[in-house]
Amino acid sequence: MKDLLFDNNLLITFQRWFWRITFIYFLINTLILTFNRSLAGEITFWGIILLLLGTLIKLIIFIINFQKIKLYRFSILSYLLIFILASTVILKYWIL
Amino acid sequence: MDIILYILCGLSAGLLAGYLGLGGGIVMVPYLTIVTGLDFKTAVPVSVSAIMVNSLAASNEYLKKGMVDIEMVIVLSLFMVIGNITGSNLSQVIPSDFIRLVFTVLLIYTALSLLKDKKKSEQISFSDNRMKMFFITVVISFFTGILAGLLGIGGGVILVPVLYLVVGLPLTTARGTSSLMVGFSAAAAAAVYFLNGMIDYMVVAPVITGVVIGGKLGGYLGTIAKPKVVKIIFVCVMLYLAFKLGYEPLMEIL
Repeated sequence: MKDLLFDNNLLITFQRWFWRITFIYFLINTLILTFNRSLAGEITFWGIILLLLGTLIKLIIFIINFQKIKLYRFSILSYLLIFILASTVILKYWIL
Repeated sequence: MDIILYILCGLSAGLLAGYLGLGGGIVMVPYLTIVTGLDFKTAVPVSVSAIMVNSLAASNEYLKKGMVDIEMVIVLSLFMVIGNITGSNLSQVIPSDFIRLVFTVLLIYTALSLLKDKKKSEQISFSDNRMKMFFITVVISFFTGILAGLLGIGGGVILVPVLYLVVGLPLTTARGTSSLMVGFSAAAAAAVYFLNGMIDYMVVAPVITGVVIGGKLGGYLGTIAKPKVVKIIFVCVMLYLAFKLGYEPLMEIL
């Protein structure tokens, strides 16, 4: 089982910090919401983009780890997942 | 005043979900619809955004203990994400009342499954069927994705039993694997809702704040005490939410 060699530490560290950052981000956002709704709306907009970028980084961490332990099939699947997510955005935003 | 209500709503949904070990969507969507009076189709995108954040903390706990099957995460997430994109796009054409009814059925199923004796079911061990059951698991993941995107849930409520009973993963690994998968599928749904301009920016931030605090508190409460009475109260709350959510659309049909 090669996946036992998968190094979880990088993913754990990233997720821990990313969780803290997003929590603080949305907490501040909520405070801003009490006195400036339009600014808060703008911040939330970027917050959602931040969350989506976080998912992308998680997938990149997967690819790095799979390549490190030579599980190339799974790194290709991770690329495919990025491709599906990215194509949804591209199709919706630039084509449809 | 609305902001406090949204925070409290997120807090109680997070508390309940964290205590019971659920993703949050199954509680968040009916809470937002019933308590704050948000439209169902507004509550769903808010819920998937909050699930993305919740999955980070939940999956990390399992990753630390090595209770996540990474290979399963990648393979099944692929199909779940495709299903999720389909589901969140379908939500624009399917009537709100129909989605509410489907959600009601899922709530009742979740409430009843919580009543099962977990200790008894944890003792059962299955053989690893990942190759034998590959096709079935992939198909179920796809349809779970559709349901998750449509209803604004993570999908753990379906995934965990599938990974445990069909694939044959140990129950804790099934939960860990599902918690990481849920993050990817919620991201796919959130992306679709975001691009369709369906996310209410005034609601997302306070709900996420509440859900995160509530989730942590609920997780802590779950580790110190799990009295059966509290569980039964939670089940009653879920059945009440199911009734409130499903009554109106059901009466319209009848």
